[in-house]
Formats: sequence, structure tokens, C-alpha cells
Amino acid sequence: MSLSHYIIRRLIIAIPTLIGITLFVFLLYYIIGGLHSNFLLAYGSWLSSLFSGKSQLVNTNVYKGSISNAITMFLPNTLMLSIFAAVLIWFIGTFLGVFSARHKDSAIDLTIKATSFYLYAAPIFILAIVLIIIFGVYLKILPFSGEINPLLMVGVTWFSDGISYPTHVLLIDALIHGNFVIAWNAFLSLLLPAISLALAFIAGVIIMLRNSMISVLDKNFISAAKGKGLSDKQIIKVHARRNAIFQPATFFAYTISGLLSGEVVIETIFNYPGMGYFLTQSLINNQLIAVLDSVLIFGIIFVSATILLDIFYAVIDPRVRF
Amino acid sequence: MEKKELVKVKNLKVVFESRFDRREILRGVDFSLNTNETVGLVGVNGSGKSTFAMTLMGLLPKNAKIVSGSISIDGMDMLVKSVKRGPYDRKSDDALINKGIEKLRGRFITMVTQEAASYLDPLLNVGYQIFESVLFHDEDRLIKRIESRDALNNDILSKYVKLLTAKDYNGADKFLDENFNIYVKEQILSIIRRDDLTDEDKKNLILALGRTRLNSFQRFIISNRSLASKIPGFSRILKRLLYEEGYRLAGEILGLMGLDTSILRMFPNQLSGGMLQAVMVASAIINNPRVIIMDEPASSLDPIAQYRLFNLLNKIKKNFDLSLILIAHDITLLSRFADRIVVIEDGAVVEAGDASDIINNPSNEYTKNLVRSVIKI
Amino acid sequence: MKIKSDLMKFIRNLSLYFRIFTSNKMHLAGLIIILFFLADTVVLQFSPWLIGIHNPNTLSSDYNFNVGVIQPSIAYPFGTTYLGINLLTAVLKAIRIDVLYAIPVVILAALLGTFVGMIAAYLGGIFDEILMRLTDVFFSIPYIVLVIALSAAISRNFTVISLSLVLAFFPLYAKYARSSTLIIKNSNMILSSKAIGSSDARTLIYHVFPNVISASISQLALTFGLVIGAFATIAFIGLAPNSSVPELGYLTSFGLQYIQIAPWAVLIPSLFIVLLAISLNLIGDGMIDLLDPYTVSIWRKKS
Repeated sequence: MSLSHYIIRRLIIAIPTLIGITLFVFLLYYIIGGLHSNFLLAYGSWLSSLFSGKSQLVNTNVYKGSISNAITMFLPNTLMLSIFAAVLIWFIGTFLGVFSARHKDSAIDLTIKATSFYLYAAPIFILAIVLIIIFGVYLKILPFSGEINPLLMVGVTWFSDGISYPTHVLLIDALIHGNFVIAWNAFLSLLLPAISLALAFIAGVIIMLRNSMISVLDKNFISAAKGKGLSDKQIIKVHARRNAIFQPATFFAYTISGLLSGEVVIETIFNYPGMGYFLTQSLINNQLIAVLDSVLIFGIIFVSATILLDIFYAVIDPRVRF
Repeated sequence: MEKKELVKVKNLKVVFESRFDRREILRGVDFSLNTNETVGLVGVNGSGKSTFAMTLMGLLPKNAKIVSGSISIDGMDMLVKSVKRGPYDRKSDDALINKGIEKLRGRFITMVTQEAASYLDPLLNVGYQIFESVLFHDEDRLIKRIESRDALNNDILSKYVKLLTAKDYNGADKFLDENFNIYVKEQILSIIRRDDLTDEDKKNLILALGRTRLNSFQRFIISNRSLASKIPGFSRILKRLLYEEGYRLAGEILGLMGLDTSILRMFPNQLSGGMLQAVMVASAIINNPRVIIMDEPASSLDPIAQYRLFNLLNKIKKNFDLSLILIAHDITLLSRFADRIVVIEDGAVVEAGDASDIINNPSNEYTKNLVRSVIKI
Repeated sequence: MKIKSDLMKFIRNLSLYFRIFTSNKMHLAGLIIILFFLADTVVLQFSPWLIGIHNPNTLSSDYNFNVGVIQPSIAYPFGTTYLGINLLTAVLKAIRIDVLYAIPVVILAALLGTFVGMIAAYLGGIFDEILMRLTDVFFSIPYIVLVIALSAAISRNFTVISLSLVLAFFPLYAKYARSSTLIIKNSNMILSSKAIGSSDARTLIYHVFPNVISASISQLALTFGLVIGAFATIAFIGLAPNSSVPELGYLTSFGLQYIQIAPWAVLIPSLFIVLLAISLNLIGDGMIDLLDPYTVSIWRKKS
């Protein structure tokens, strides 16, 4: 089957999981509201109300307004944070993982291994605290709040009510509109949260990639490539990398939900205005409907990420397709 | 052609060492290979044949050590003292490593292994894996092929085909040498040498060579390729051109072997063991090496594929300046293809000499057993 | 019979496993640290007065408004934090709370997951599909989100949090159990035992279960670390219901407010969380080593 067939198949498989998530969320609604009416009827009407757009209101001490507005405001920030973290995880993780495997058992390799182990084991908020202490308190370079100073936003035409246009992501919009001061500030306030989020997973990727690389480099077709006289660099680039990426990718698939959890924690610690922050604030203020809607959003994010990962798999590995 | 010693091995000793024991695999092996010669290396399983091949290629596993001896290829010494300390060694390593081979692998000397499936990258198509060594070592050859095809004069080409139709083979050969450069010649000859095409097909294919032209953009990129490789969009076009030529070249080799070019874009998991073996052979010969080591190439092949393989080897030997080291445990196979035979038992050479001498008058008991053990049809 | 000999083999192997485990100093260190934490839990559970602690379940008995915030000193080895809480006793109490809440979560998650996975694989077909989709739902919702959702829907207390964590962590065990069971299901062991005539339930318990367990065992330590981390994280963000329950994450967030003047109030609880997590990871790592047949055979040869 070709790639497009595979993608379609994958999307179809994702539907039951999505339905399951919506069912679960709705079950919780049902419990909150008291178990009166017919479950299926209520489920159906709730689903249709989802698709028609929400007008329910939410009322927390930092945000008041409609939930759909909240989602437009917060979701892009969360996506921006995740993507930034993912980029960090990918580039730093793969580089150090390959490096570590090539210079196996050297001093640097051992340092990387040890550091990765501790970074991976410690809970996320500890790393965040450490980073805040180092960069925010002592070195005083980076802001330890994810929010932008509202004074900066005065007089800016493309920003209103907390939402920036057109992409709703402050950093990108600032760049689009050429306002580099705002862009730089946005970048700085993105930096610490993204690094704290990414660190544990970089460590995980390094550990997985290192092990994977070591076992791939042992394989016969690598010897065959050497037998063809290819340089080490060529062998790693063309053969080893591709074959070694599976283990970290699987690991990543299992830890996506961990990444999203971490996202919630990081956003709360740094007051970064994203979905996770919205979620915790809603809970603390007992805005149950907002909570459940956010849960749904997270479920969708997760399923999309898994689908993307599977497609990535299929692109790299022809064995899946044929 | 002057006869030269291409490979000379003296007193090679290799051991396998693990944490608990140490085994001598090669106990002082002497070996030599001259130009245009096929030497067969024969012995039962476990006698050290494969280890010998791996040592020559510098592909020994980590727990194997070259203890002593000398290897010289094309007159140059290969072995040097190993200076790197392994992480688990208490004292420094006294072994030798085959460092010199690194520059020769893939160009001067290539190897075909026993079991092809695990020696191919499962994620890349076989066509790429065939032309990979040409792409890496000899990109120029691909470029020159493209350029000379682009510059072909169709009139000259049709004159050549007329000579072929008239069965004036001598005249055709002369014409070929006089009018075409080696890159075109190579492409024409690879069509002619194929067994699986009719004369008519061959003529059409030759004429078709003159009809593939580049557009001016592609020509520009090729003539300025050092610059183009640095610009993202252009480098991709350059890569595409090179890959296409690579597939073409790989297809020619496969055609020479009597195989269909449809397998080029397939992946190893889609092909049978025999096909994969053929792919390995193709990748070994594509870069025109001087020496090819074949480690039991026929063991996973059916009789027809075996026949095809050795037929091909003969063809190559005739047309290229090639020496072969054939490793097998079936001595009669070697009797048909090898000029000399070296018999190895338990890591040491017990008998060596001309093929016919060894087969007909084996002096050693072990050799006698090998000869006797083959069932005569 | 086969079952007994498997058990015998296991017991004979224990001393070998112990030696392999302890040979790696880091794994051994992890084990020792955990033993310390377990000792703390046991002592505080049954006889807290032995070390001078009287109310292990709450921090309020430690409030000492006269004292204020003090640096670590001889009287107060870990110093004190806001409200004069003696950090040493607070941390010791918190360790017990964390461990005690985490243990049932891990055990329940493992049991539930293994059970679901085995049933799914054994029954196969549509049951397999449904169970796996269900498991996937809980797998796809991040654990924090799940905790928040259930706390919102039901109520915010430790029981609900624990149950949501069980739901969050059981899918991993389900997947392991399912794949182990599938491998066995398709192998000859089951066929031969069925040929002898044992019933389905018997086959399940005696043959499938032991093999499935071995894959999950190494995960237990790691999950334990994750669960404790989860509790700490939940308390840290402020989702924990009761503000006077000693909990390491809570203590950390408490100390964070005064970080400029009393850094020890943050660093010490964090240190213990990290120690707990790292030691559990080390143990988990060590157990993975035990599963590797190559390493085991090398060790066996040595003895």
C-alpha cells in the first residue's frame, strides 16, 4: 500500500480513540450534572453543541469570557511551546545521542550518560525550579514569567484582548509585523519554559538514541557499508541514523502524554498563558465545564501527535508500507 | 599485462578473545593473489575462511585481534600497530589493525558476503545500495556519463549501428574505439554484452542513448556543480541527476547479470535471497575493483542462479582486469573456476597449488576428504 | 510438574540475581537509598515516637510561630521554613506520606493493567479491540489532565487523585501484559497444556501469568518513581486538597516563596524528591539488566 493509503488507514484507526476520549469526558460531565437524562441523547446533543461553537462562559480570576475565546487565546501558545520544545528535543537530543554513541565510553560520553540519567529521573518541576534559580534569580537574565509585560503591548494594532493576529502566537505575529522588541521579549519568555520542558525528554532521547545507535552500528549492513569504503560520516548520515531513529521515536510516542503533562506543569509554574495554565486555573476556580473542554483539547492534541509520529514512521520505514 | 602480486599475506595470526576464553582462528596463514587470477580458498565450516576474508577487508569484529603477520596489497603494507586502548583493556593492546585497507575498500577491493539479507540496509532501495559506492568514490564517472551522452552525435551513433547490422564486428570495434569516449563505450558495451536481449532490442537501446538530452538548466548545474552543491535547491537537482544516473548504471550491471531492472526501486524485504545475493554482487562489481572476495557466494542460491553467477564471473574476468578470491566449502566448484586453490584446515594452510594438481593429486588427507566428499553426478 | 520447577528455578536464581544486581555500585546505591526511605515509612507508621515525631499525618503540630525561619543548625539540622516548621521532621513525615500513597497506586495499576492486558490478548478478536481502545483513551490523556478532570468531576481529595493515577498508569502494564500473552498464546506451551486437558482459567493462571509478570517487574520501580513524582507535582502546583498534609512537593512549593532568604527550604525537599526518583530509576535499571539473558549467562559462567 502506498503512503496515502497508510495515512488514511491511520486516521481511521484514530477515530475510535477520539470517540473514546469524548465519551469519557462526557461521562464526567454526566456525573457532575447529576445522572438524570438519557446518556446517549445527552451525549449526542453535547457533541453537536461542540461542533457548533461554544458560548459557555468561564470565570476565573485571571480570565473571564467565553471558553471558545479562551481556547483561541491559549491554545496557540501551548502549541508554540510544544513545537519549540520539540525542536530543542530533536536537534539537541539527536546530536548528543549520536555523539555519545560514536565516542562510546569516553569521558564525554560518560558525562552525558550520567547527566541524562539524572535529568530523566527527576520530576519536571524540579528542573524548572533549578533553572529558575540559576537563570532568573542569580544570573537574572531570563524572566521567570511567561507573560509579556502588558506595557509593551500598548498601542499595538494587531493585538487586542490578549489575542494577537493573524496567527495568535505572539512571537510569530511580532515577527510578521516587524516589531522586534516585542518579538525578542516573547522569545525570552518562551525560552525558560521550553528548556525546562524539553530537558527531561532530551535526556530520554539521548539515552534511547545512544543505545539504539550502538546496536545499529553493530549490525551487518554497517560492516557492508564499511566494506564499500564509505566514510564514517557517510555511514552515520545515510545508514545508521535512519535505522537508529526507531527506538527513540517509539520512546517519544510513549512519552508524548508525559510531555503534555509536563506542559501543564511548566505553564503553571511560569504563568505561561497556555492551555495547561487555563486548565489548572479552571480547576482551582471550580470552572468544571472549562476543565472538561480543555481535557478534550488535550486528547485531540495527543491523538494528532501520535498520528504524525506514525506517518513519520511510515515515511522512513518502507517495511511498514509494503 | 605484467603479472603482479596483488595480495600477499604472510604468517597471519588472528585470535578471538572474550572475557573467558581465547581461541586461535588463524594460525599463521600464507596467501597470495596475482593479477587476473582466481584463487580458491577451501575448507570445512569453521576452518577460518570467513575470518581470513574479514581480516583482509579490515572488518573483523571487536573481539577479534590480529596478533601478528603481514598483509600487503598492491605492494603496500596494510597492518599497523594498534595504539588505541579499548575501554575494557587493563593494559595496552598489542594487536595489529588493518588500517591501510580503509582507502582501498570499495575501490580496489570489494567483498560479497554469504548471507545477503542482513548485509543490506533495510530502509533503502536496492538500486541505491548498488550504486552507492560509485556515488561516493567516483561521482565524476556518473557526471562524465551524463555529459558524454548529452554530447552524442546521433549520426555517428547510427553509423555505428549500421556496422553492427552489417555484422562487421571488427569494423564496429574499431569505430567504437575511434569515435566514442570510454564513458559512452562503457554504456554501449554493457548493452551489447547482455544475454537477454535480441539484436534488434540492443540496436534500439543503443540508438536510444543518443536521445536522452539534458535541458540547459541541468547542463548549467552540472558544469558548475561545486557551486551548485552549496545552494539548497540546486543541490537537490544535482542529486537527482546523479541518482538517476546511478540507477541507470546499476541497471546496466543488473542487465549484465541477466536480471530485470524492475527490482531497482524495491526494498530488501521485497526480494528473495537469491535476488539479494545478486544485488550484493552487483554492488561489488559496479566500481570496477581489481580484487573481489566472494565468501561462499553460491550457498544460498539455487542451481540456475549459481550458474548465472559463475557465468557472470567468467564474463567479467574476460572483460575486466579482475582477480578473485573465491571462498567455498565445495572443492569441485573451485576446480572449475579457480586457477589456484588454497586448502585451509583449522586456521592453517595445509596445501596450496594449481587447481588441477590439488583436485587430481591431493597430497594431504584433509584435502583428500574434501575431494572425496563431493557427490559425483 | 512444570509450575513447581519454575518456582524452584526462580528461587535458585535469586542469589544469582542478587549478585548481578549488587555488582553495579549505582544500582546498589539506589537500593540502599530506597531501603532508608522504606525504613522511615515503617518507623513512622508504627512507632513514630521513636524518633520524636508525634503527629505523622499533619504539619500543623510543627507550627512554631516563635521560631520563625532559621538556617540549618544543630538544633534544626535542616533548618526551618515558614511558620517555623522544622524541616527535618516535616521531610521525614512527608516521605512516609508519599511512599504510602504511591505503593497502592503502583500495585493497583500493575494489577489492573496486567489483568486487562492478559484478558484482551487471551480473548482476542473484538474484546481485544475494545479493551485496547479503552486503554488507549486513558493512555492518551496526560496524567495531570486526568487527575484534574476527575478531581473536577468527583471531588478534590487524595483518594480521587490516587484513583486517577491508577487509571493514568495502568495502560503501560496492559500493553506489556498483552504482548507477552500474545507471544505465549501463539507458542506451544498453551497448546500442550490444553492437550493435557487443563481448563482455560488454569492455563491462564499457571502458565501465562508468571511469564507476563517478569516483563512488568522491571517497570514497577520506574512507575513507583513516576507516581511519587506525580504526587509531588500535583501537590506542587497546588491541586492537593489539604494544605497541612506533609508532602514533599507541597513542601517544595511552600519553600519556593521564600527562596531568596531561605533557599534550604526549597532545596532540601527537592533533593529528597530527586533522591527518591533517582534511586527508583536505578533500581528499575538494575532490574532491566536482570532480564537480559546474555548478562545472566555470563554471570552464571563466572560462578
